[in-house]
Parts: sequence; structure tokens; C-alpha cells
Amino acid sequence: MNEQETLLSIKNLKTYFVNEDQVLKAVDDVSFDVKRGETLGIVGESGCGKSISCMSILKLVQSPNVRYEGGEILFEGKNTLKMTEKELRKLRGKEISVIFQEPMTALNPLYTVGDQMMEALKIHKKLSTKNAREKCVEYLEKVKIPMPKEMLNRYPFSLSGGMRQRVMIAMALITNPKLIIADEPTTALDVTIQAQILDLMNALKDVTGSSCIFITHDLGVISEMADRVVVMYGGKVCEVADTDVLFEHAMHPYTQGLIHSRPTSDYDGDRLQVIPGNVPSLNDKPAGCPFHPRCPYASKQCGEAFPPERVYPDGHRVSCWKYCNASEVQ
Amino acid sequence: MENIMEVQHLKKYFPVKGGFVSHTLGYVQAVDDISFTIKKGRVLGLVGESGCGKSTVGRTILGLTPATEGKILFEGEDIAGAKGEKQHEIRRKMQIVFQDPYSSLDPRMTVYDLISEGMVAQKMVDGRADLEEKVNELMLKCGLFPEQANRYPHQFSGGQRQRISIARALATRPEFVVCDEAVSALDVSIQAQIINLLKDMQEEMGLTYLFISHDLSIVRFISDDVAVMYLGQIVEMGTKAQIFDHPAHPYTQALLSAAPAFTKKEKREKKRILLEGDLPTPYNPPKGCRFAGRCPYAKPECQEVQELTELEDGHMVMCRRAQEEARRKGERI
Amino acid sequence: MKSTFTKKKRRGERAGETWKLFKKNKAAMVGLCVLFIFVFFAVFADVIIPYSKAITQNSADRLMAPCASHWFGTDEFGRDMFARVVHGSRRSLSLGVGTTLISLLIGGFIGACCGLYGSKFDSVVMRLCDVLNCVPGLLFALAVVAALGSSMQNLLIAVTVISIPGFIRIVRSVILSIVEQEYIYAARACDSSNWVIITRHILPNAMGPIIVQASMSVASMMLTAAGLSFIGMGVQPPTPEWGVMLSTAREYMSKAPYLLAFPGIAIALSALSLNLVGDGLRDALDPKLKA
Repeated sequence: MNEQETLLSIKNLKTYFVNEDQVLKAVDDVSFDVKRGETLGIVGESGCGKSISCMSILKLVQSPNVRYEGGEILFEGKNTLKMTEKELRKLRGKEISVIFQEPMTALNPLYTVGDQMMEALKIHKKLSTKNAREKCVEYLEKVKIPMPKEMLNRYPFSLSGGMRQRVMIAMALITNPKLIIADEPTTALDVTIQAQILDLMNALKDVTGSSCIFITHDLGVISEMADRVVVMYGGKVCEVADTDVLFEHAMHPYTQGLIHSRPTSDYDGDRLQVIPGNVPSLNDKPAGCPFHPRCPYASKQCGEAFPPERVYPDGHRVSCWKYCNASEVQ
Repeated sequence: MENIMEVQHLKKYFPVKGGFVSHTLGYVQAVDDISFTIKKGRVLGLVGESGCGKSTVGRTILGLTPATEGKILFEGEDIAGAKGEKQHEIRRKMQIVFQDPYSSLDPRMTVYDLISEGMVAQKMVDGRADLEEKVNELMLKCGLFPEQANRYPHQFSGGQRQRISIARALATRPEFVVCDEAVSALDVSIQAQIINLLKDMQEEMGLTYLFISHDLSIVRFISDDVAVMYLGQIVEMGTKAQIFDHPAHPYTQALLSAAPAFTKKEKREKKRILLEGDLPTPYNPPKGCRFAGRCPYAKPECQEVQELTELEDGHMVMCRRAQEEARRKGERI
Repeated sequence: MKSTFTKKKRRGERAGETWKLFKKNKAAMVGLCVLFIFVFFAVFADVIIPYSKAITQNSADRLMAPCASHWFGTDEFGRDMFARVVHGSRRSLSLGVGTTLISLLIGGFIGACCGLYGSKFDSVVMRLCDVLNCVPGLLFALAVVAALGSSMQNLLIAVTVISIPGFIRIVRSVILSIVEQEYIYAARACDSSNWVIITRHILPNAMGPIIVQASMSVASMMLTAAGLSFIGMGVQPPTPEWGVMLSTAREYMSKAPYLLAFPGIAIALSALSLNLVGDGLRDALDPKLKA
């Protein structure tokens, strides 16, 4: 495996929500990298911090209480957490673009598709309206939208969910960004439409060469889209591995539990394998490893401290006391 | 095993009104001539994507929305349009679990009130002590803590709320339960818990389920029989093995291939069929095959009215091509 | 195995909890105190200061600034302003609360029927409301008063009539949004009677927005009544009513601003306190805030 250059490096990110009476640790010491040209999948359930980690890259977390407490996010070597608003604006939409989950609400209902697509072009590339329109048509064709010229004049409410998401993808690609953050882009879509969109994204991935962070809760989607996977739980990273390796040799008990909760086509058991208990809410996180109350292998150590990360030669990383030496376990 | 539920030529049309005096412009044919039977103790999985009418079927069977046409035979009796005493009895024996654990529980009622409502309405208790005991029992059965009975829904997680919904549905000791996308809004690790709970309850109380979902892997696990809906019609129906191993209708094939595979084995075995275009709406749909617009095998004959015919042993399909192929196979044998 | 865990809360307990939550809201408590003072004035006006002082004219004491013997000063006829404000509260508050209650009952009932039964009845009522909304409220009230004559009673009728469409709309839209919720379907699925559904599901959930609307409405009714009295179409002198007092104080604005200030402040404070109490009540009834 050749060494690809690292495009984005998140190190020990801590994103908290600070109220008068409590501190909610949405992202608690999270680290992962994105290499050039790769699609990194981030998988986890609600409240695990996957969206917040990625929105922190561009400081786009929508809350007055958010504090980027610690760590650094290095995009091409520069720490985005320390950038000024002006510098961040140069990144947003140009170097790093975002595809959101809800195509219904991510597009402004008052402006035509064309206006919204050209907005990014006019700001970042300073194109004239005529050139911008041509470029928009070009990208609408790339995402296989029928009659792209007419589409520029249509309003979002007249489009279906699948169409809107294609428009969102076109908008994300149009400035040739180095990194695309796709935050659950197909969760709100029907299965057959999802298949079309995923297929499209895979095809475009090869053509554009952009890196992509693909956030989802659906393991099936991850296996189709991602080259490498980051598994998150309770604001922390549990496991990082190549996609094939993850599904064949998952190490973290949470990942194993997640994979086995899903009945495969040849599953003949009478009951599904479950992870008992509930997903922790932000203000109710267990001490130590956040998964320990639900873990079949939990020991005393697990409730006291979060385990150190073990890195294996093939790049597989796990944070679990099960894999720590006796010397590391006190 | 007798048929506990039999639906014959069920139709539900929603009028679209417009204009100053609100006259009817047309109809949304949400459910258009559907027929199926469910035997006692079995689970019928009803699959389809948004707009196919599966949720409407669930609500119409229960009488929550009046059917436009058709017969709904519960334990042999036609209950379509039932009123008064009859409706009261039906509503005890047939229940529903909704999809959204946030909007299906009245935010101003405690868990105790929510679970006890059905029993009180059906006059199944004598006295406060009896009611308290019954609510206790139900909460324990569904994996809830009785101490929390006086809490409000917003104080529980999504999975727990769905348990409350299930406890509420089971309170009247029904025989038939409609699960309308009961686990779709839950986290993956919680879905498995709720599915297991539904299975446990089915075995313990001898329930029959109509399990409505768009998630094929779950339907495959929990169902005995499966019906696939597209735009208000059932396009294919049969046992689990028939539908998942030998799908005949092109839409069923596309649906199965669209579900992401995550083991290497599944990926190898999967034939990807990608559909063109978007899901149409059931407003003034075409007369012939409604799937023809997106079907990779569409022919001019598909514009004519289609019928659900039997391929083999209970496996029904509404597709000329599938029927012709089956005939050819039959001839070869 | 009998468990003692699941004990249903009694009504009294729930009321107690609501009151506790209400107490926590400082703004609401301030509003409640101020409101209490005004209500006290209204009820015990005769005990606080005799009515005669409010209407007896005394030309020797005309237009006196606030002093020890006349706390709020005197008006152009030498009548004690404090007495007039206190006695005026009885009329102004009863106008506001009375009109709100009546229009809430009538408008709320019609709006509820629209929301629950819909179709033709709904269409007809909505079109009627549209027609009524075209007429400016004050003008309409003027027309009613002109037809029936200027008196406290007719003022009440006029103000009530113009506020009914507002309540119809609000209650109708609140009920429409509730009726489509899944929990109503769930209640119907276990065949709860219509009465149970309305009283246990629809009304409690509709309370919040209706309370807020009602409290705002009391304030605006008082202002409308004051406005009508201002132009001389409402309560007639010498009856003390805050609106009338504002009206006559116009002429003396530069000479005796306190004639304008005290009734004006009284209207503003009672309106504000009502709004605060309404908001506080809505929040206290919201189960999401009961942690």
C-alpha cells in the first residue's frame, strides 16, 4: 500500500457545548486522518459525535454554546481551529464543501437552483454570470440531471428528494474542492434512489480525485462507499480500519455488536444478536469507556479510564482494554 | 390455521381539492385494489418505498381512515365501516405500533396514562389497584422500569418510547397488530432489541403481525410471508423464500439489489440493477403497469391493465414478463 | 407479585407541581404580584378609597400636582386621580377579562368545531372571518356603539364581537395541528370515546398557545376599550375608566403630564403583567420543562 499524503489531520479534537450548569462533551478527544483521494467513512449512532467532529473542521457547528476546547485540525498543514472567520470563508465552499442530510431544507426555497449553484462560483472563482451558468450546466450533466439548462431556472420545491440531492452534489463539486464532507447524504432517501446516488458518488469519486468524508449510521452504505472506516461511540473513536478488514475482523466489541445486529441474508437464528442497554445521551455519559455499560467484555478497568489506542502495522487502530497488555492495565 | 385477516379489493383514494369552492380535482390513489390474507400467528411483511401506500393500508385496516371501497374480513367478518359496538370490539382485538416514537405518544400524558388508556377505554379493569398491577406487568414485559411510570415521554430515549408504544398496543390483549415502520426511526443497535421484543411478544401472546417496513433485511428476518407494494398496488406476493430467493417482478429485483450489501459474500452474489428516474406520486396514475416508466424490460403491452396472477404455489406477481417466463419454464419442464 | 411502584399521580399532585414550576419563573411571579395588586384594587376599590372622591368635583383643587393629600394629583375638575385610577381598574380590568372570556368561549367553540369537523362548515366560517377581518376592528366597534349607544355594556359587546374571528382562527389552527398527530390516531386505535380524546388529548395540548393568545387578548381588549373611550364612544364621564382619563388628559399634557402618566402606566402595567402570567402559565403546564 503506497503512502498517500495526508490532506486532513484531526488531532485530539474536543468540541463541547457549554451551558450555565453543565458541559456536554459532544466530541471528546477524537483523532483521525483523511488522505488525499480517499473516502473515509465515519459510522456511529445518534449522539456519537460524528457530525459534530466534521462540522468542527469548518467551525460550522450550529449552536451559540459550542466551544472548540482542544486539539487541532490540520488541513494541508494549517490549523483550522485557529483560523479567522475570513480565512475560514476562503475554505468553505471552495477547498472544503459539505453535502447535508436533508435536501429539503439544505436548499433555500426562495432562490432558483441556478442562483444557488452560481453563488459559490461567483464568490470563489469570480466568474461572470455567463461562464458560471455554463459551468453549472456542465456539472448538472455530470450528476445526470435531465434537461440541465431548464433545471437552473427551477425552484427546489418542484424537485424530488433524489433530484435535490443530485443538485447538492453538483454544488459541492463545482468548485473542485479538495475535501467533500457528506453528512448522511442518503439517509432521507428511499432505497432505490439511495442506490442511484451512491452509484453516482462512486463514479464521480474516481473522476474528481477529491477526498471525501462520508458520515452515516448505515453499515451497508459504508461498506459500499468507504475505503477506510472510523467507528465512533459516545464522542470517542473506538476503531479505525480499512473497510474490508473492519467487516471481516472487527476488533472493538461495539463494532462487532453493530455488525451482528444486522440480519444478513443467510442468518437463520431465532432472535437477533443485540447490544443491550441504550445509546447514552450527551449529558449522561458513562465514565471511562463510554461503551462499557453495554459491553459483554467489560471489566473494572473499563469504567475507570478510557483505554489507550493500539495501532497495528496495517493501520488498524482500536481503543479497548481487551487488547492492552497487562502492563498497561493497572 | 384459519385466516385471521383477509383484505379483498381494498381501495383508498384521497380527493385532491382545489379552487375557490373546493371542488375535487382528482384523486391520489394511495391504495388501489389490494387483496391479501394473513393466517393466524404468522407475520406478513409489507415492503415498499415512500408513496407506495403501505402505511395507508395499515391505517385503513384498523379503521383509522375509512376505506373508499373493498372488504376487510377480520376473523371472517367484514369490518369495513364498522361502527359502535362492533368497532369497539375490533379496536380491542386489533392494534397498531407507529413509526415515530416522538409523535405517537401524547407529550402531556405520563407513561402510566398512555399504557392504561386502552384498558380503560375497553373497560378491562376493575379498580385502581387492578389497573396499576396490569400496567406494572406490561412495563416489565416490555423491558421498562415500573418506577418510571409517572414520567413523561420526552424523558425517555427513542428505543424506550417505542417500548412504551408496544406496551400500549399490547395492553388490550389484541390478536392482530400492525407494526407501521415500528423500528425505522431507531438507532441500529436498538432496532435489534425492539425486533426481538416484537418476536417475544408474538410467541408469548400468539399474535399475528402486519409488519410494514422499507428495510428489507429486517422484513426478511421477521416475516413469514412478504408482499411488495409499488404505487398503491401489490406487485408481488409470496413466502419469504419465494420473494427473497426468486424475485420475479423487476421492481422487487431492483429493490433487493438496491439494499447495500456488507459482507463480501453478499457483494459477490448481488446483481446490481439501477432504476432510472424518480418515484412517481400516486396522483392520477397510468392505467397499465405503474412501474413501466422505470422498468428496464418495459414493452408496449405493459401499457394495458395488469393483473396479479399466480406463478407457483402462492407466489403471485403482477408482471407479464414474469408470467411469460414462468410459462416458458413450465413448458420446458 | 404486586409492585407498589406504579402509582398514578392524583390531580392535586399535578396542580402542585405546576404551581412549583410557575414559582420558579421570576418574571411570571412579578407579573402575578402586579396583577394581584390590580385585582385587589378592582375588588376592594370602595374600601381603599371612597367612590365619591373619584367623582366629586372640587374646583378649588383643580389640577394639583401629586402631593400628600392627593397621591396622584387631581384632574381638571378637582377629582382625586388616585381614586379615579383605583376605581377605574374595576371597569378596565372587567372589560378586558370579560371580553376575552366571552370571545374565547364563543370563538373557541366555533374554532374547535371547524378544526374537528371541517369540510363545509369550516369553509363557510373561514370565509365569514375573512369578511370580518376586512373591516378595521375599531371602526366596526364604533359602528356597533353608534348603533346601540355609548355605554359600558355596549362597549363590551362591540369589543367582544371584533375579537371573535381572531379566536376562531387561533383555536382552529391549534386544533388542526393536534388532530393530525399520531397520538390522536393511537387514542382512536384503542377506541377512546370522543369525549376522552377531546378532554385528555386535544385540550391539554391546545392549552399552551390558547393561554398565550388569551392573555395577550386581555391586554389588547383593554387597549381597544380605552381607545373607544378615548374618542368618546365608550364609557361616559363621570365614570372613571382609564381610557376616558387618557382622553381628557390630552388637553393638559404640557401643564399636567401626570394626568396622562398615571392612567397610561396603569394600562401598560396591567397589560404587561397579564402577558407575563400567561407566558409563565404556558411554560408551567409544558411537561417538557418538568425535568
